[in-house]
Amino acid sequence: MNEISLNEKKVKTPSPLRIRFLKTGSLQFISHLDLMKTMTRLLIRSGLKMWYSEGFNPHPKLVFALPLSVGVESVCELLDVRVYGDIDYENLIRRLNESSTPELKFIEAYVPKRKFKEIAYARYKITVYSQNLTEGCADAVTKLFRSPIIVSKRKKSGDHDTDIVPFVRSLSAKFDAGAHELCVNTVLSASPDNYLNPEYIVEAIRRATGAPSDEDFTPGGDSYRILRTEMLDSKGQMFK
Amino acid sequence: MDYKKYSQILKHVTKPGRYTGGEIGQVIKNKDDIRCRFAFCFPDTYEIGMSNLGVRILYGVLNEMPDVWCERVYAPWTDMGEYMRKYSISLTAHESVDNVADFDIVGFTLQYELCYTNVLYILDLAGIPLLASERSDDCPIIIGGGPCTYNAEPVADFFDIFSIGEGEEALPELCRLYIKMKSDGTYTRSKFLYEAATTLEGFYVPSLYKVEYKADGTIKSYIPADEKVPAKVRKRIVDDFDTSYYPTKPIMPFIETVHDRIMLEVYRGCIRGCRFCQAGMVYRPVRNRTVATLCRQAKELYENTGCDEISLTSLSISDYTDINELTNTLVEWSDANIVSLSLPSLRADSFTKELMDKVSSVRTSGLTFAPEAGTQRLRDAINKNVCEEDLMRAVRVAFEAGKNSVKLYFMIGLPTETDEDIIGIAKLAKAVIDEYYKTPGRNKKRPPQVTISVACFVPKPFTPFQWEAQNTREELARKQRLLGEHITDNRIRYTFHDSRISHIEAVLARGDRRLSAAILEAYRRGSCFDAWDEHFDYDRWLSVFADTGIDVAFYANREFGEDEVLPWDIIDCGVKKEFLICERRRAYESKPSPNCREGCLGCGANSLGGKGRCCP
Ligand code: SF4
Repeated sequence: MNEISLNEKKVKTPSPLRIRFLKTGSLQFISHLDLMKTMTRLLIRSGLKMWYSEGFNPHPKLVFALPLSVGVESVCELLDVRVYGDIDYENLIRRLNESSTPELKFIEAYVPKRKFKEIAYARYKITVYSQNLTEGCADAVTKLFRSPIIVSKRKKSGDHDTDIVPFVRSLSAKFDAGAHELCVNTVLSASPDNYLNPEYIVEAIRRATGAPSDEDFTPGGDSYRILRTEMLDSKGQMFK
Repeated sequence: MDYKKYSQILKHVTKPGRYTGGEIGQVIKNKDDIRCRFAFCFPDTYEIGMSNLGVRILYGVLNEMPDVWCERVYAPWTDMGEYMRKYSISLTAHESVDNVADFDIVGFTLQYELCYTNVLYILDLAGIPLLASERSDDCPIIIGGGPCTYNAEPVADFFDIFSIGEGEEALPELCRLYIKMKSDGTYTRSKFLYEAATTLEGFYVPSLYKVEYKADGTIKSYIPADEKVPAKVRKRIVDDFDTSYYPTKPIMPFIETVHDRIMLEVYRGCIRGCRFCQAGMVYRPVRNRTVATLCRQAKELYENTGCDEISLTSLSISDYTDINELTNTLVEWSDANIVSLSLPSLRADSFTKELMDKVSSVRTSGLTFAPEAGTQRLRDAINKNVCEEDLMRAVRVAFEAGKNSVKLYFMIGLPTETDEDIIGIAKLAKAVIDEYYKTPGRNKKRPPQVTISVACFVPKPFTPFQWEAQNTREELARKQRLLGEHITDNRIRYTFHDSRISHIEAVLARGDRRLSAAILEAYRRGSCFDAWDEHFDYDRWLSVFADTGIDVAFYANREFGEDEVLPWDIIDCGVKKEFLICERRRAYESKPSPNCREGCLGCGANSLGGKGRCCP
């Protein structure tokens, strides 16, 4: 429960707090907007004294580093919020996890040193599972990325044919024949103007290998998983 | 649904978060401790089902029992339904992801008639036989509850048993009986149903009654299977509403739902007795919760959910005896915690500046009032005791506070209605516009806007208007046009309900058992999600009725005789038929009746008991 009243909150100045969390498993199907709502409620429940916006409908302001698309999991999400008073970071993380679910897990909290706009890239691990994948599929994928890959990219002004290769900073692929799994490690542009949705890489893999199927959804059949593992700055250093 | 197994499908359907479960607050139990598994189905989408207070309460009540595990089931949207059929995926419960067909008891809450085909859709996806008569001993028991069970006859063929009235105490009793009969080896499906109907109160087992019809198609009689089977099933109520179970650790949905906020159930029932309103009759008698209880629940809910909006839910919230004390206490507390307060409905006669300032839903959004009828004469006839002065005073308060838009709800096709009453709606809307210009402190920057939303009257069981004929569609259309012609001011926005939907609703609301065959056929021909405009297919319903020998007018547009045996006479909801007849007479004389607090009309509901009820 918040102990200080609205008026008290106005006189003190709030300080920034960054929280790192993961969003995995079935939580990948929860949209960014819905996540914001759940996150706000979890923060309220943790007892954190947050700064509230003024006006008719006061609410705490949550800023996320890089919103995740539906269908993408992550172990490196960052969220900023403005808070009052001294914070016991470990206690906060413990309380957040107590009221959350394991698929929305809080890792650490700290005072941020860098700004979100320094984020330039994000690293993803894309795993495609299919019985139809064959030896050589990893090479086929890496080879495909040596020349332009034109996709129809949705923008505000409509769909545009765009070459996605310039947005790919690095890409490597490995095939595990026993598990029928193709694993692609890639670093994609993630700056506000040049954000590349990792689903386009899945689309490219499909062009190169025919998997995962986009029509047959037989349970236990083809599937893929996209996991965001790291955010990086323009030099390719990990951003925290 | 198992997200790993079906991730490809989940990536291709709308709102996959509907299916993945795992919400904070869901109840997970160890199957080894469980002796009765209960699947609670809401026959509509997740977003609507998650918002239903009744489901939240019963989910909590059942899960309080250590050997019962209640889980949730919703109707998959049509895109998911198609995939499930294509890939033979059975419907599973949200929490355990186990097949619904493997549960002991499968319950449905029937909130509106148009969900009936969705009940069949859920049973079908779960692989459970649709007809009660085709279920064997190892099928789950299919039980129905909720407002539509006051006349459950149209769906009688699909259900094994109905729980009539409030389920908080009845459902645990049913589970206890099930567990007892399973453990002492006496369980068979028919024995269990017989025991429930004859030893517990408030359970209706349709198969224990034989219905005979007269040559003219009306009902001759209901014949119970033997003398132990009750001739009438009396509805249950919770005796002590103030201290009864209330869920203060609700499930927090991840995705947006229809009412995603803290709900406080302030009181049950309604003191008013509008003559068209079923809820106002069947939830009698009125029972309050105390301010202390409500404030304690609000705080617990806030701590357990972090949800920053509280909604007071009850039929006519401003009729709550301690409304001022309650809102004052809540506002004081919620300001410190930055929680906003919202009220679902306000009566024009109790709308004040003070209340408006306290309630943020009123501050931030538009105002709505429900005069229901356009003239005082007709408002008296339907017992909607709101006069034009009250409405004008209420809108003045709103206009003075800077508001410029008001929404008004009306109904057409009401008994005793004349064209004058229809034209009265247009006049009333115009009077609100005029009132705006008479209000000195109004917001002069924007012109006023009055929206009138006009529904069609549907006669409902257990109301004084239960015998009335619904206007034909031609008549309703004529009235809709007539009203449109009298609205000449472009500051008045006019919207009206689709009379085709109201027509089917009327058939289903007053139908008898013979309708089950038609509902089944409608489902077979593709009817589903009928409450959704984009899926409702009027012509299909009509052709189904024609092909199954159902005369639509017999149920919707015929005046039922007061001496006729009604399909819902098998139920005793507390309110007596004589009282309904008496109220009907008063309607014909355009005479209003006092509300339960001004004076008891002796409706009969006091015989149901209930601590702290408003009745003598
Ligand atoms: S018994 Fe009297 S006070 Fe009670 S609900 Fe009926 S009319 Fe109202």
